[in-house]
Amino acid sequence: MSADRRQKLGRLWGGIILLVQLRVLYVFWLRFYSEVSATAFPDLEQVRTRVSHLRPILLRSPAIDVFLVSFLVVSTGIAVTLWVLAARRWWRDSARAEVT
Amino acid sequence: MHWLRTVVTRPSTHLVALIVLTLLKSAVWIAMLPPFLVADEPSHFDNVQYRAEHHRAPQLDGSARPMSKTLSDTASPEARKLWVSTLPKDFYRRLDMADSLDERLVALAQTDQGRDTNGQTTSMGYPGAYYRLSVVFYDAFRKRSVVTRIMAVRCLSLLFGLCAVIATYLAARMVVDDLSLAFVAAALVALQPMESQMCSAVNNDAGVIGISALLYLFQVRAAVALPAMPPLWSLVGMALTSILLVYTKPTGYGILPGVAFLAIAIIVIHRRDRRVQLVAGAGLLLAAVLGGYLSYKGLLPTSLVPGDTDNPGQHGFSTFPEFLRSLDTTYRDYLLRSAWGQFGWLDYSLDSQWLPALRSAYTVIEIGTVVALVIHATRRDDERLWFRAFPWAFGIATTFVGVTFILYAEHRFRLTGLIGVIQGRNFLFVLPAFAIWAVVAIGALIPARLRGMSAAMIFTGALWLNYSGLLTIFRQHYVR
Repeated sequence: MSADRRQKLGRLWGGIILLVQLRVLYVFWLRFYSEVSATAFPDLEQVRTRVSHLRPILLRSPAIDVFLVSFLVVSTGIAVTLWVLAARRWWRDSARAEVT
Repeated sequence: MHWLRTVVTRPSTHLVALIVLTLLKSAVWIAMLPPFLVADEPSHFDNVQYRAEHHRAPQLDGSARPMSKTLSDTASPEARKLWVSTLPKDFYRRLDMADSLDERLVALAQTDQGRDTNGQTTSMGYPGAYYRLSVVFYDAFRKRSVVTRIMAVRCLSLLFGLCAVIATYLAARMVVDDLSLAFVAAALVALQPMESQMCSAVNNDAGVIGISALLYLFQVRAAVALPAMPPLWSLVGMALTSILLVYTKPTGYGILPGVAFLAIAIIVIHRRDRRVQLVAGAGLLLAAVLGGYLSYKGLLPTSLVPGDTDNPGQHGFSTFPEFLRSLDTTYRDYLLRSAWGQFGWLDYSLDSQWLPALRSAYTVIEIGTVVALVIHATRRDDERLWFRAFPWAFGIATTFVGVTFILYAEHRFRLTGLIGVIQGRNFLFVLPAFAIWAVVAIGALIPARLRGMSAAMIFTGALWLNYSGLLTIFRQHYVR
């Protein structure tokens, strides 16, 4: 197999894996929004009211809301950053392989 | 955008991101888990309360039957009030039942009688390191509501969880060259659902998780240095964390054989070094004197399992190999489920759809391990390897020894007539070793240029699991 053909096959293989990963990410976001936003957020106010008397110190409302939203934002932010960095690395390495 | 790329790929940024992620996650888990509605939390809190109120460790006095109840009738009135009032499954879904409880708990906290307990619960059999540290957190809010003190002690568990995450990241950096893989190994520890629960509850499991991870970090540092002499701080760290672990909980002892292995390796390799001869001799002497003294005083944990073990064969097996052969699919599924997501008092768990996915993940790790070993054996050019084989193999051995140790504990329990005492969460002390093993194995299956994507994929999966755990708890306790 020629080097050129091997390189093309390599990129094809990489592209397929990238598509699979993006599909995973898509499903992740879909599930995340449908589950967390539809289930959790409308009920948060009820939860806060119901258990506010048991919330000491840090957990006294609205701290729990802040913690929850911050956790969701930070964790998904890290996930997206990892995917973006990985995609950049792949393109960079592919371009480098093409040059050499 | 060059500066942004530089910042996000810097190791210190990874560490800060892990710390922020762990603190926020733990705050949410601590808030979501209702007080006392996590396995054994009342018993562990009772131990802390006794030590804080009486300034000594609880002893069996025969005034109650500690083994028969989750919380004995002689526990503090405020703890019993909270326990009895919140036991109904719909408590946190209703407002009317809870209105007066807060005021009554505050009133009970103001009096010595309201906080008084005689400590007759199952946790009195455990060593006291976790409980002694917890007393500091308890004392800071001594006359506030019992719920406040439970949450305060949970913050100590949070710190142990944070310790585990940081230690895993630092250990992974020594094993894996790829920064993103090292990051997700630590993230896996941070986001594993059962680890999240145990490090958000009053339970000495949190102490075992944090201290074992720290010990594993020192072990990896020593393993990386071999055959050269490891740095002194790693050896001192290993000794101190081993002692702390011994005085936390016996279920973590499964990580100690690694210490013995490294100590023997160092002594054998450097047997001609006078300093090693001196330290080894002094260490043996100190261990003999200290062990003898503690044994004489009755302070040395002598048995993993209390009770009579002279009744083998009552469950159709008597030896450990026979026991291993008796483990069926149902028991293995139970361990898998309770290791990853069986929450509360084991009364609700993650959707069963996760079980096949987790089993598949284990299969992928096994295949990846073989591939990584083949790559290591066939590639002579070390620069192309993204992991260091010996400390990685040490991590695999640590995981196997830890898992075998816990299964052996279950075997011993069964000989006493107790079945199912061991749960999957008891394996969590080897989670750092397993996480590093897993990321190297999965990394082996992905072409080098896509290794960052495998890191992103693992992180996404772990995050998804953690969200699912939170949603499961949320639905169980708060949604009508």
